[in-house]
Amino acid sequence: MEAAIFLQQVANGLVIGSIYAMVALGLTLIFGILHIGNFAHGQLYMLGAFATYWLVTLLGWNIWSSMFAAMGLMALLGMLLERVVFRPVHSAPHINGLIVALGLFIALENIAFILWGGDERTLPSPYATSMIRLLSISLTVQRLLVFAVSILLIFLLYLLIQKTKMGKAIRAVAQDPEVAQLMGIPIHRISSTVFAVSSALAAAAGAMVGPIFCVFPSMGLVPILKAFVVIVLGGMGSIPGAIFGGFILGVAESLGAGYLSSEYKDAFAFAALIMVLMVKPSGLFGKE
Amino acid sequence: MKGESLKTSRVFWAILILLVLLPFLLPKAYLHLAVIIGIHAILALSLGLVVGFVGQLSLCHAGFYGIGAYTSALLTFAHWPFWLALPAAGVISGIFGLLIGLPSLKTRGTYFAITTLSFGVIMSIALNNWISLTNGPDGLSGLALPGPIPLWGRTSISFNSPRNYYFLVGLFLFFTIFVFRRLLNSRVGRAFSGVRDNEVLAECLGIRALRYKLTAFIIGAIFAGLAGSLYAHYLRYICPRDFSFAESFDLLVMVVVGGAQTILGPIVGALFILALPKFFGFEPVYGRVAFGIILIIVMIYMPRGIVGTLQRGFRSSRGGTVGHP
Repeated sequence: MEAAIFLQQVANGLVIGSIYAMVALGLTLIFGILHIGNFAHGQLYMLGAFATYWLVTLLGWNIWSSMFAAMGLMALLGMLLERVVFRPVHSAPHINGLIVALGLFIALENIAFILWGGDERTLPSPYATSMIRLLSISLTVQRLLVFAVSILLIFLLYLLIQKTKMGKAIRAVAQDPEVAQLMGIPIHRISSTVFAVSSALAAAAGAMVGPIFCVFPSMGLVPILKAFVVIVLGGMGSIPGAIFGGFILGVAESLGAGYLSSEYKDAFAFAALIMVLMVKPSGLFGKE
Repeated sequence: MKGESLKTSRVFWAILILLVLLPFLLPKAYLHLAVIIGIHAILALSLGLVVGFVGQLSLCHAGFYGIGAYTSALLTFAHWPFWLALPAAGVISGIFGLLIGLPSLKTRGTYFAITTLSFGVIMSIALNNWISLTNGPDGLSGLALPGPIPLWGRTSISFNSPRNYYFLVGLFLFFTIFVFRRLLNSRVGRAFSGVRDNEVLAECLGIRALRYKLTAFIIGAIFAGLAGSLYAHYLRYICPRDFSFAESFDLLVMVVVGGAQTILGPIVGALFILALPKFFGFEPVYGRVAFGIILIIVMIYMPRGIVGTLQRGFRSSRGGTVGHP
């Protein structure tokens, strides 16, 4: 009986963890390129969820096409934001970029609020009600899909970064932007691409979470905060750090909520962050 | 601010006289706004000390505001007089400033922002969930007014009208400005600037950076706590939402738009951010969108803020940042 509960919590944690990993991945990619902690990333998650919601409910598309379309739309939005908001502060001190991201975060959330109100909407999905039982763990198919699709997207991203020429260019810019530029790499185009990919990942995460946790304008705050915790703990700019950190955080939170307290469950991540930074102020794998 | 004798300039006296006459000229609704602006000016100044002079982005400042407010409220429920609860609120906030600042200030940049943000979120969660202490999201109501100050004869100054509270807040604002000016023009203030501009060099010169950063952070927390107490006993009702991240964000906008490295800046910022929506009759939602966009535009085109850019001249307006000249 004990083991069953434990496994169930771990399973739930892996599902949530895959969301954290996807958002954190986008965040860490942007940080690796621009050295800006892009707060507003959480809103691309939220807008991706809303885009999927409207495509499904207004145009009647099926959930997969809606999700892909939303990913595309958010990729475009991400590139636009990079051009208009982040590129001008790219060479300024990092605190400027941080503040700009904060402003964008608040602006986008409140624009969504004005347009769509604060009500929580459930994204209709054919997978939300059917359940799967495996080794005493029961999950809705939707949750299983969240996990599976995340793993797939993360794997695709890994292929992109490690096996393509674009990926090599991205890694070069992340390592040393000046030298990369000297080698002829068009860093602005790389920035654009990274923003596009990150935003698409965030949109996918939002779209998949919609049927489970509802869609509403402030849904981006907690995931982006958790994503920051993940990348600080996993190392800002580190892709494996974001992926593993995301899953570890998800599982830890789920176990904490199950065994300790579920009201304060959100506080665990932040408490963990504070404790780690007290001991190692540059993060678990940081280099500063 | 650096060396200018603002205190003796005619502009200063003109503004001072205008401010003193204001409550007798304004209708009551505007007077209420003036009190709120005054309280936020103190708050913005306290955040400006951290952002402008330590050069770091603190995102938990509304938490200190909230701790001051709740401390003051709970003490007055325990029959403390307001005039004791007020300084106590400052002290308690200062203690939290120490507890939070000590771990946070070992980090820098984005890490510092996220750490303070985490602390801010934890404080919000605590305020909302520790029902036995704070009554949770419903808040605390029926807070006491400050007790009347007895004058000669049988008259006394009572605080059940915005006008007298306006003067109380105004007095505290001037007190804050006075303390900050003295601080920033002293050796301590020069150490702040040194640490902000080049921490490594400052350390080489024997300035213990952490100690000075912590001092600024604690002072910022103390004044935020005082502002919290003033707020609590003016509105006589407080709830956790008043002290959330949204409030921290608003304060940051005030500091950045006004100009973080000046004393006038945060005050101008508070005036600008609070008065503008009221004059145009905006809902807070529209206001927040505007603030976000304004923040972006200011950081791209005028990172030193309104007052900072005016002081430096427009030619170099695009340079600099909130934390560096």
